[in-house]
Amino acid sequence: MKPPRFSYHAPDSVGAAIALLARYAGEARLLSGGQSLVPMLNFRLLAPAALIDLARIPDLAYVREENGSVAIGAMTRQRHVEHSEIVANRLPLLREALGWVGHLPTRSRGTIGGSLAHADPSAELPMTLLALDGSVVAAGPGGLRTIAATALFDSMFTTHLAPDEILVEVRIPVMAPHSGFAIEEYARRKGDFAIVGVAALLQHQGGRCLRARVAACGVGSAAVRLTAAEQMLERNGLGLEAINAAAASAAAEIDPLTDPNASADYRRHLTAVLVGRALRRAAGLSVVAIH
Amino acid sequence: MNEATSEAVEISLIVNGRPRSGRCEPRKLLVDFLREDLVLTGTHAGCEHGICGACTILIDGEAARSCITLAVQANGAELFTIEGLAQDGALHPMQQAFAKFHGLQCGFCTPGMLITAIDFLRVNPAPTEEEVRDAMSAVLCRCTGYQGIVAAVMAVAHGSTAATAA
Repeated sequence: MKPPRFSYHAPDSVGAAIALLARYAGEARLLSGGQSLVPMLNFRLLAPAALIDLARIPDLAYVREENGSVAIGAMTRQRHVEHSEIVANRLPLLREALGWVGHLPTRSRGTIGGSLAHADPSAELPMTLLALDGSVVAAGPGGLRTIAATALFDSMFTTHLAPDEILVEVRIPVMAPHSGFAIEEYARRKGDFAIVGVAALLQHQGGRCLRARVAACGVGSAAVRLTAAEQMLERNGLGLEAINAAAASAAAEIDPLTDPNASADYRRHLTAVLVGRALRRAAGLSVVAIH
Repeated sequence: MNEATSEAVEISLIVNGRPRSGRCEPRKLLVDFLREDLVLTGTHAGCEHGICGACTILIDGEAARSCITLAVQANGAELFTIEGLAQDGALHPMQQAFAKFHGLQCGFCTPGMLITAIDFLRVNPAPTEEEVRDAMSAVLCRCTGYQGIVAAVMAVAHGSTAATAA
């Protein structure tokens, strides 16, 4: 239960960190908050030649509103995102999601960028980034590029970031005024990884659904958008019957895994229940006014 | 510190208001650095993978798990551990409340419980009981002492603002 030996680097710039990644050619790991990486080292699930600590690089922790989006530095601690006034006002879905991410003491250290790059299929932040149509900015040897959430998550603990790229910023469009939203999750203890989690974001007007986003975690090898359910809502509106149909469709469009925490059948059942709950809340009870 | 090393690194930090330093391998966990190098054994190593919360301390004023933080990550930080709670021989109000409401039996989880509760009340000074239960679920007690723990945290929330001073 102690980490294996590794070399430790604390570069003071993103460029230096990228150079180190290149030098270790896949044998190094980036350290952000360490709330997933250090347990994996303790269990010796990983034995990297080196850790590259991003915490000493200045200017990677911030929350800014710019041009209709919120930009969040990758090293911003989850706790600070949770308590950011900009996030509370512009991205209340993200704020609600953060309440489900670990416990207060792990959110003190865990970062938003670290969680996204770690890509745990049970984690709430990848699912939430999908529901919010967010993207990330990656820095590599060739400069910066933007990757949409839908193109970021590949499979279990795997993203489409290149081995010599570093996630440096998260960008999320400000939620539309009067959006309805909800996070629903089941875990054995609140704060544990989700057995299944669901994020819903609805733009609606008098029962009509202008735009629906439904995403889930714990339902496969990566967080996913439930696009069939979204399309049904956009077509059929937000009546109880339409919501029930979308929930049933959500359960049909996932490919859950059986593991020691839950069977695939149970996850499928939970998905229908939680999507139904999230949509009912987002459609009716949780209308937010954004000024 | 831009140079690679798996050799010992110098760690300097403030613990309970006092400057402390030591040398350790970069792989050394902060909880082990506290216990072995600084001989502050009040912080307990439980599960060693960030689940049980017994090792919770304050890092720069925020509760964090010292078993999933490397000592080198805390270099330059200000830490607060269970040893710093009592002032001039007087127990911290949270400690007094835990004693009064039987918030501990074996005591193993207690350092993490106290630090977690103090940080939580700083963030949420007037919580509901449900919020206290939610927050305290960050730390596991295996003596089934939760009733007393929740009662103690609620008592401090209702009775005193001094508990947030740490």
